[in-house]
Amino acid sequence: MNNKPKKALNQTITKMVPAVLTALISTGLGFIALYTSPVPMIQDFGKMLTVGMIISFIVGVFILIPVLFTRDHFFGGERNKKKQIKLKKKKEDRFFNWFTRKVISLKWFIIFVAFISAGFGMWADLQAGVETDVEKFMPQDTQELKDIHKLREILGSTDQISIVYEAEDVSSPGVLEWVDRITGTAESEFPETVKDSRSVTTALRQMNDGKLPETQEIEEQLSDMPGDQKKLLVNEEGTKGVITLSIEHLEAEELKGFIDDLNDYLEAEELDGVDTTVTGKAVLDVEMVTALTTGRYKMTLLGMGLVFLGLLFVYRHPVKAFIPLLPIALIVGWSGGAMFLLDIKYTPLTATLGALIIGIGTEFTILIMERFYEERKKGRNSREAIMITNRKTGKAILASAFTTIGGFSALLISDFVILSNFGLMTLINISLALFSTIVVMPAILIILDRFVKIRHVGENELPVN
Amino acid sequence: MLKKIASLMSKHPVKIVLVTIMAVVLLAAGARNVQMATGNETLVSTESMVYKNNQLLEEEFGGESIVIVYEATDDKDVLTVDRLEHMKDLEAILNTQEQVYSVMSPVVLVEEISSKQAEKYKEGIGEVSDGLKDMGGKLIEIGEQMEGNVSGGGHLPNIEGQMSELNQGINNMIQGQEKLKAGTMSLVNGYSQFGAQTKEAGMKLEALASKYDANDPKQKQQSEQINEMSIQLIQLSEKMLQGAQKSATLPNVPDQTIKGLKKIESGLANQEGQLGNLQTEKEKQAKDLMELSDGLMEMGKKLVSISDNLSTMNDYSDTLKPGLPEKQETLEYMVYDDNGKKREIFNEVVIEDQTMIMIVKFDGNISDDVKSEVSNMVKSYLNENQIESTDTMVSGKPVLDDAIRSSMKESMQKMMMLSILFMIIILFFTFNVSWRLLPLGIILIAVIGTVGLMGWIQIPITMVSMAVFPILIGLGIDYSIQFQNRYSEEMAEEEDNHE
Repeated sequence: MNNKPKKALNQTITKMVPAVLTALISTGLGFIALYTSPVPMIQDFGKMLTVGMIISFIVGVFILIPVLFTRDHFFGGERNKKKQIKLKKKKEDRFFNWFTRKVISLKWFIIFVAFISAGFGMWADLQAGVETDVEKFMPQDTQELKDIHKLREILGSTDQISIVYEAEDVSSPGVLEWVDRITGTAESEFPETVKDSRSVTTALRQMNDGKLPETQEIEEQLSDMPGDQKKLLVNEEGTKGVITLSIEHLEAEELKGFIDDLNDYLEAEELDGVDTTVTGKAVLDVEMVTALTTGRYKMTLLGMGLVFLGLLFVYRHPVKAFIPLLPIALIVGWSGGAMFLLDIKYTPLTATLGALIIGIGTEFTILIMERFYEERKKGRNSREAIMITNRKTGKAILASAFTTIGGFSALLISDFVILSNFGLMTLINISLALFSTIVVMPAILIILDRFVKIRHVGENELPVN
Repeated sequence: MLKKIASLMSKHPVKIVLVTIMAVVLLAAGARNVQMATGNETLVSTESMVYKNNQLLEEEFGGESIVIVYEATDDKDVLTVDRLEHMKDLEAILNTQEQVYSVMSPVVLVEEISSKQAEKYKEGIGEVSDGLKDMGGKLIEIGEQMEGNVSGGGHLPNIEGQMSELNQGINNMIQGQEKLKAGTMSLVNGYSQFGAQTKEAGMKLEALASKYDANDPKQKQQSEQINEMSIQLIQLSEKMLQGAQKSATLPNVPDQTIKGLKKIESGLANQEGQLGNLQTEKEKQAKDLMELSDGLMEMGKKLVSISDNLSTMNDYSDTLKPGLPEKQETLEYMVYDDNGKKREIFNEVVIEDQTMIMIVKFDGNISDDVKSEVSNMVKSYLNENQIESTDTMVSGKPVLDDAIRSSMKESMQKMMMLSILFMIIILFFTFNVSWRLLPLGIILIAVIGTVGLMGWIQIPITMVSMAVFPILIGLGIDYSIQFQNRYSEEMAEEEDNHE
């Protein structure tokens, strides 16, 4: 009696731990692609996911398995229940067998449809917009958000862009004249965007009935200016000053255009000895958009590349390393199509979907593939192997997909728009991953089987039927 | 390697479990250090040029700001003394906060105007005191010369010239008063002192007048003039005192002072003419002149001492500190220019007539905690001190960030609960082994370990990474399920083989 749990423990550890570890590595490699994102919060996301998955694995191996073993080894019992379950399982098995047979017969059709639709999805994905307005990520009925909208209405704008200028002496007449000109013309140059502009010269004009003071008076007027006001406009050393432009709340794309125009304008108006820098929150936002839009494809491709290399290292067989990635590429395409159809914009979170799909999807495909080749090694032909794989692992994958969906659907109810959109997309993606693993993967495995040489465990164990 | 682990595990299963749990507990201790982040550092790499530029901007010119909006719900102007007082108290609280870079509000502007006016006022008092001194000096001089002339029997010199210099002194005083008019602030003490001094001067003049011989018609005339002057001065001083006592500093008080001084001026001009006449009959009146000169000298001395007092007062005038006006009229006098238009500097903080704002700018690159603390402080102040017919509101990026952080916490808790609930349901229906909820327990341990590790290696929770927990529960549980599934499968097969 006591040997049974020991054998089960042995089997689980020697057979299952490597498979799950491979899945973990490929998932981790997919997540590592997130580190390459220039957006820090995506990097953090990647780190947390990787760390979390590793901990889950360790805890699974070192707590779950010994706990199960302890239960059976020291306490035993509970055998009878299982027999009933086993009867039920037979029915399920029959369903899986029927299902797999169907899939195998339709393999070419499935492959064709899958690749065409994924191609369409990838094309549609190129048109997808990007959402970077942090205010659109958060719960939309928050009082504070309404307040800030109201404030924007009152003030005309709460967004600002700052032009910092550096010179040896910012209060020298030449520089002041330049500042005054820029401050004055910014509004007329960009009438659509710039609502108001402020600099040291607007303050001087206010003190002086709307006129810029004469050269000799400037010094005196500047020292007359209240400290609290002055320090917002020029620094203490008198080497830096700032022109603040209040601008309309713009979408990231328009904002980017505006900043480029502003930089061009400053270049055209350049004054010797004065360095200008356009900065402020708005510029940071634009930087993030650029990072998101350019980083997204790179991240997905890099993730795939890393997983491929990782699997190549583990399996030392290019086709075997390539197989788990095929369904993933399909999901990436489909997912893009789904976002297009649902009109969901990319956020920092949905931009990580590619890497996430790689992480989740490869786990499924690797588990299926491992089992398939395990069965093939036992000497079964590819058809038989697929049947057994889908029957045995399919259930586990189904359960795993369900739990993943369970976890992710909690995201769906979040007040945070960024999370609920993401939740929706991950749900779609997991369903796609499930579909692609159970339906497309067998087809791929059978078609590509001829490229993989199986080292059978022994000649005598060749196909039974 | 794997076999080793397997045999080790079959030998000491309980020990391994305990050691692993210990490790997780150690990790979990780090959970205290977990930070929530919503700032720029979560959006753009801190190494990038763009981020550095922005950091520089914040360092030199202050960071993010919160805006406090006051909106009048009645149809009147939002700028009232009550609301400004309310704002000023809030500002006082904010100014105790080190991380507040600057505060901009109508209060700041009004105080700025009033301090400018106080400066003018001080200048005005200075000039008045100079004027008095001049006047006194001249009077003494005139007296001495008169005396000298009388005793020397020589010609009465250029008294007319002296008189016009005396006039000059008074003119200075008038100018000073005009400046005072511009700087009418709540400078109660200064004004009342000045009033008292003026009164004293008036009394002295009165005393001087009484020295004239009432029988001599010419002297009588002079004494009457001087008397009149003194009465005017006394009246003037009374008005000033009155003004001071009412602690109102309405602009018409200096106005009246100016009127009074102008009267004195014309009185003196008159006297100048009289003195011209005097010259022709100087011998006859030598004795009278002697007396007059004594009087003038004494008055001059008094005036000099008044002036000294005034300038001492001016030097030590703590009382001249500018403050908020206490009367609506005074406030309006400061906010609107002579044409009844709002002064341009108020445009930044007063939007239309119903709304005014206070802009609190933080120091650059300070922690979110400080910003939250300050904005919460402002909120609680506004809640505790509500003002009639006024809506107040606190807003701005830091306030929004604070709200995001608190709803992040809420949202995370809700998501965790829900994902656990879903998981129980799903495990119950799809996972047909005994102890089917075990993987959930395992993954929760893993989640706790992860949160702890985040604290140790200082990864903050952001709007994006808060999604990690449901994802982790969903993904991580797979591993446990796979292990348990295989284990149960093996157990079942063993059984089959045995049967």
